[in-house]
Amino acid sequence: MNASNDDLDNGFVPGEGAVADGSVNVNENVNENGSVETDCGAQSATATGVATKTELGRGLDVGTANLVSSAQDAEGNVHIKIQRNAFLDIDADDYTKNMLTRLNVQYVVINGRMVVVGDPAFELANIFNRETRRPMRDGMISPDESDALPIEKMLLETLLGPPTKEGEVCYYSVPAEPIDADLNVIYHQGVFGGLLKSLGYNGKPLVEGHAVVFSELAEDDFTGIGISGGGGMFNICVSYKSIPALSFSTTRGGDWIDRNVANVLGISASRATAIKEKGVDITRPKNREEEAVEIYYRNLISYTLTNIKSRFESSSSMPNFPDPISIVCAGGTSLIGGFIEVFQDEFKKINFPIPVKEIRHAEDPLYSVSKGCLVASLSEV
Amino acid sequence: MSKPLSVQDVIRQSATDVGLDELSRRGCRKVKVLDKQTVFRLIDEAVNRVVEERLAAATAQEREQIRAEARSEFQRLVKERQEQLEERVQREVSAATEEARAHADQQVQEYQERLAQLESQVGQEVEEGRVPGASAIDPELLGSMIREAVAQAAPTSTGPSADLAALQQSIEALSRKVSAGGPGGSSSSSSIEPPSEEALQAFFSRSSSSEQVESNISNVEVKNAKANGVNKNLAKLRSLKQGSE
Repeated sequence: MNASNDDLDNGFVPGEGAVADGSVNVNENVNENGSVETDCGAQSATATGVATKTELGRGLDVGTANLVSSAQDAEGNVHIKIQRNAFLDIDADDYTKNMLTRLNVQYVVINGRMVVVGDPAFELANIFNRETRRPMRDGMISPDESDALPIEKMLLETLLGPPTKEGEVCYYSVPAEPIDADLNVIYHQGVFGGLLKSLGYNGKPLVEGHAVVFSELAEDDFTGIGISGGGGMFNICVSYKSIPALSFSTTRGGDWIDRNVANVLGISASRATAIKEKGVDITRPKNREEEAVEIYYRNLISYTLTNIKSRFESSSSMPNFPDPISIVCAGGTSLIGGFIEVFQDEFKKINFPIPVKEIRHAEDPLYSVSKGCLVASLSEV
Repeated sequence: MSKPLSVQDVIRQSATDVGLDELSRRGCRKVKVLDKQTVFRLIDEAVNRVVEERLAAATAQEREQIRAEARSEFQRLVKERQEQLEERVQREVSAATEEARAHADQQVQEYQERLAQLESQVGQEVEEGRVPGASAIDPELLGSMIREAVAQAAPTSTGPSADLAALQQSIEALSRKVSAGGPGGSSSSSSIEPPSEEALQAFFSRSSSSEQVESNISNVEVKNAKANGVNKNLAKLRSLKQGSE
C-alpha cells in the first residue's frame, strides 16, 4: 500500500470551529487494506461551515519525516492531519509570497528569510535539486538546525490547533533508547512536552513501538511486536498484554536508505526520497535506481531483525509467550511495495528466538503511531 | 655557478624593432616569422646536443665535477627558497597575531565596561527595590564577584584568545553564581541537565507572544485523511485495564 499525496487531501479540521471558506472536504473511505479512498466531488458538512466536534484526547506522531496528528469525532471516525517535517528557505519577495499563498503553499518569514514548510518544501527541493532542511535528525530534534524549534512549533499548531479544553491530553511519540548510537531522548522528549504545553495541551510521551502495539495488536490482547519504521529510526516494542517488555530503537531508517542511495547514484537525498516514494516494488526492481533502493532496504531490514534477535537473546526481562505472536510493521518506511515480503524473506534467514505466527503490515502504516497515541489519550478520558 | 640565463630576455635585448613601412622601403615583401616556442625548442635541441657531445667526451673526473657543481647549485637554491618562505610566514604570523591581540584587547575592554555598567545598574535596582528577590543579593558581594571575574580574566601569557575565553568563562561563572544566590550555590555542578518543563514552556510562550512572525500558515489547509476507527482498540484496552485493577 502506498499513501500518496492525493490520498491526503484538504478539508477536515479537527477541533471545534468551521473550516476556512472555500475549502472542500474530501469524502474518504478506508478499504480493507487500509488505503484511503477519496471522493473529491463530495462536499461535506465541514466545507459548509458546520462545526465538527472531536472527543477529548489527541494523538501525535512526532516523526523525523512526517508529523501526524489524530483526533476522533463523536461518530468514532478518526481524522488525521499530516505535515512533512521539512522546510526550505527561498528568496523572499511580495510576488513570491502572493504566488505561494495562491498555490496553497505554506510559508513563514524567520529572521528575514522566507521559509516554505511541509510537503511543498520537499517538492520545491526536488524541482531545484536542493536538500530540504530538517528540524529532526535520527528521530530527535536536530542540534544542527537553529530554526528547528520555531518551525516545529508552527507545524504542530497547524496540525493540532487549540485544545478543545485547556489541558487536553495529547500523547506524543518518542523514540526508545537507541542501541547503536549514543543519543539521549530526554532533551527531545522535554522539548516536545514543553511545546505541547505552550499550545495548551497536557503532553504525555509514548514510546513509538508501543504506540504501534496500541493501534495494531488489539485482537492479540496487545501482545506481540510492534515495529515502526520511520525516517530516522526503527523503533521496536515487545509487548505482553499492553505492557512493554522490551523497547529499543536503531538509528537507521528511511533517511539512511536515501543517503546511501543518493551516494551511490550521485543524486540529492531528496531526489532519492522521491524515487523511493514514486511506487517502487523492492521485490521487483526495474532499473539501477530501484535496485539501489532494494539493496539498502534489504540491508536495513536484515540489520533491524538481527538487532531484535540479539536483544531478545541478551535481555533478562523477556516474557515467556504462551502462544506464537504477531509482528506488525508500521511507519512511512514500510510503505514501499514488497516491504513485508522482503521482511519475511530476511526473517527466514535468522533463527528467531520466539515463535511467530504472522508478519503483517499495519492497517494504516503511516498513521499507526499517531492512532496508537490517540488510543492512549482516549483511554485516559 | 653563474646566474641562470633567461632566453626570453636575451632575445628581447638582441632584437631590433623594425616598422612595417621601413621593411617595405627596404623592399621586403615577405617576412619569415619564427615563433617563441620554436626558438626555445631549437635552443633546447642545440644545448642538449652540445651537452651530450661534451659528456661523451668528458673524463670520469670531469663528470664528477659537473655532478658536484649541479648538486651544490641545487642545495643553494633550496636553501634560498626556504629562507624566503620562512621570512614570509614569519611576517604574516606576526601581523595576524598583532591584529588578534588588538581585537582581543578591545573586546576585553568592552566586557569590562559592560560589567561595570551592569554592576552599577544592579546596585541601583537593588537600592530601589525593583529586582524581585533583591533582598537575597548583597550589592557588595555582587561587586566583589564581578571584580573577581575580571581579575580571573586578566591577560595571560597564553595569548589573546585564551584571555578572551577566560573572561567569557568568568562571566558565565559569575552569572551562575548570581542566579544561585552566592558563591556557595550550585555553580560547582558541571553536568548538563535537560531543560525543565517550566523553562521550555516559558521559552515557547515567550517566542509566540513577543515575536510577530509573518506567515500564511493559518490561511493554508493542511493535508487531511480519515483512518480506521480505534473504538475496538479502546474498548479492549479499557477492559484490560479494568481486569488488571
